[in-house]
Amino acid sequence: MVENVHKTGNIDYLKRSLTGKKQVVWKKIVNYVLVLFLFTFLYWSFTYLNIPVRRFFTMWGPIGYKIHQLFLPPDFGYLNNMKLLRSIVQTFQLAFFGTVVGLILCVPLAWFAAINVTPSKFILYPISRGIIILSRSIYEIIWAILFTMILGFGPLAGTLTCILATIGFSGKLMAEEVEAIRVGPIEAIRATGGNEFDVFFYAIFPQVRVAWAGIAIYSWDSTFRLATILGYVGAGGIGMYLRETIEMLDYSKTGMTLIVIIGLVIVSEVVSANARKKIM
Amino acid sequence: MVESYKLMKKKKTLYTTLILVVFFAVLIWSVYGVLIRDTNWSKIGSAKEVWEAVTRFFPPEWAYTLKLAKPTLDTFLIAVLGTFIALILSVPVAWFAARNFTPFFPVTYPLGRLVMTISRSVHEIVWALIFVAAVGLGPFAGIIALSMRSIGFTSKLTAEQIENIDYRPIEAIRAVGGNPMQVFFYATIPQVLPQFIGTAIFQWDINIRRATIIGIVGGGGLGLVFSQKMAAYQYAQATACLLAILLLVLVGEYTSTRLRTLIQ
Repeated sequence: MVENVHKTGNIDYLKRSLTGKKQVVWKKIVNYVLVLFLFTFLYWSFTYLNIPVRRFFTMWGPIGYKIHQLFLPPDFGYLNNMKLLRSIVQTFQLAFFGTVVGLILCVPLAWFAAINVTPSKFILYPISRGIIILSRSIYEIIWAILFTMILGFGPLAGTLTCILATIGFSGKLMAEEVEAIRVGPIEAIRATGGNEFDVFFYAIFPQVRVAWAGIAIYSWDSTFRLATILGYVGAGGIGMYLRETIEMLDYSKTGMTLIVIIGLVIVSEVVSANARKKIM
Repeated sequence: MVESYKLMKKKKTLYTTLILVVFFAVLIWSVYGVLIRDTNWSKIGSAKEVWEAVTRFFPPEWAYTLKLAKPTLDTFLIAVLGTFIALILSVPVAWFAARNFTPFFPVTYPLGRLVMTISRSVHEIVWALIFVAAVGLGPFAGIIALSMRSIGFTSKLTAEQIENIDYRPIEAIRAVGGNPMQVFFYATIPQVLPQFIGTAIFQWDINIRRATIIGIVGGGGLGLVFSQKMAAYQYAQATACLLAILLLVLVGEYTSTRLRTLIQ
C-alpha cells in the first residue's frame, strides 16, 4: 500500500479518494432508486389487484363483529359432543400415522437425495430429489383436495397428505443434514470393503441420528398443525366441524372449534418442545 | 459402584423400552383408527376405479395454461404484499416481545408473545375465512390473511435477534451523547437488519406457497381458479393450474435461495 503511493505519487492517491467519495454518492443514488422502485411497485400492484384501500379503514367494524360472533361467547356446550371429541382423536391418529410413515419413507429418500453419499447419482438422486421437491412445492391443502377427489372424503386422504407433507418438510432438511456430515467414517467403511448399506448404517446414520430426531419432532409439530385444518377440505379430522359450522352459520360453534384447534396446537407444541429439549 | 452403574443402565433400558412400547401402541391404535374404523373401503372402490380417478387429471389442458398468467401474477403479488405488510407489522410486535427492549415488561411482553402465538397457531385458511367475511372476496382478504399468518414467525425470529444483540455499540453511541432515536438507528437496526432481510425472503418464499391456496376460501389468485375447476369437474384444467402453481413455487424458491446467498 505505502509502496504503491510512493511509486505512483500523490495524484493517484487523490483520485482514489475521489472514487471513494463517488462510490458513496452512487450508493446513495442506488438506495434512493431502490426505494422509489419499491413504492412504484407497491402502488402499481395495489392498482393492478384492484385493492380497495379504503376498506382497510372500514374493515375493523366487520372484523370486530366477526370476532363477536365467533368468540363472544364461544359455544362451550359444543365441547360436550362425542362427534367433536372423536374427530379430535381422529386428527391425532391421522397426524401420527402420517408422520410416522412419512418419516420412515424419509430415511431412504434423504439418503438418496444427499449428493455426497447417494448410491447412484443419475437414477436414485434425481428421483428422490424430484419426490421431495414435488411434495414440497404443491401446498398440502391442494394435495388434500386431490386425494379427497381420488379416494373420497375421509381420514385416508388426510393421512396421505400428512405423509407427503412430512416428506416435503423433513426430506429436504434431513438430506441437508446428510450433506453436512464428515466423510472420514464413510471412507473408512468403504476401505474395509463395506457395501452401501454398511456405509449408511455405520457411517451416515450415527452422524445424523440426533439431528434427524430433532427434525422429526419439528415435522410432527407442523404435520399436526396441518391435520387440524385438513378436515376443512374433507380429509378427516376436526377441521370438518369448522366447515360444517360455518356453512350452518353457527359461528359460536366455529369459535369453539377454533379454540379447540388452537389449544391442541399449543399443547402439541409444548410437548414437542420438551421432547426436543430432552433429546438435544 | 459397578452395581449402581448396572442399576442405572437397567433403568435406562427399561425407560427406553417403555417409550418404545407406548410409541408402538399409539401407532397401532392410529393405524387401526385411520385404516379400519374410519375408512369406508367399499366407498373408495377397487384399485382400477382409483386409477381411473387418477387418470382423469391427465393429460393437462396445455392451452389453458396461457389463461393462467393473470391468476399466477395475482398470486405472486398477494405473496409479496402480504409479506410486506407482515414485515411492517412485525416490527412493533418484535419490539414488544423482545425481553430486553420491551417498553413496559409486565404488559407489553405478554402482549407481544400472545400476538405471536395466535398468529402462528391459526392456519392461513382460517385467517382468510375471517378476512373474507370482513373485507369481502378478493385478493385484499388474501393479503391481510397472509400478513396476519406471517407476523408470528417474522417477529419471533426478529425478537430473538434483538434479544441476542451486542450492547457495546449501544453503549458507545450513548457515551458520545446519542439520544434513544440515534441509538435505535445506528446501533440496533444495523445489527438486526441482515437477519431481518433473510427472514423476510424466507417468509416471502413460504407465502408464495400459502398464496396458492388462499383462493380456496375466496382470497383470490390461483387457488380460486383451481377450486373452481375442481368443483366443475374440469380435471384437465385443474392439472394446468397445478402446473402453474408448481412453476411459480419453484421459481420463488430458486429466487429466494439465490437472494439469501447474495445478501450473506
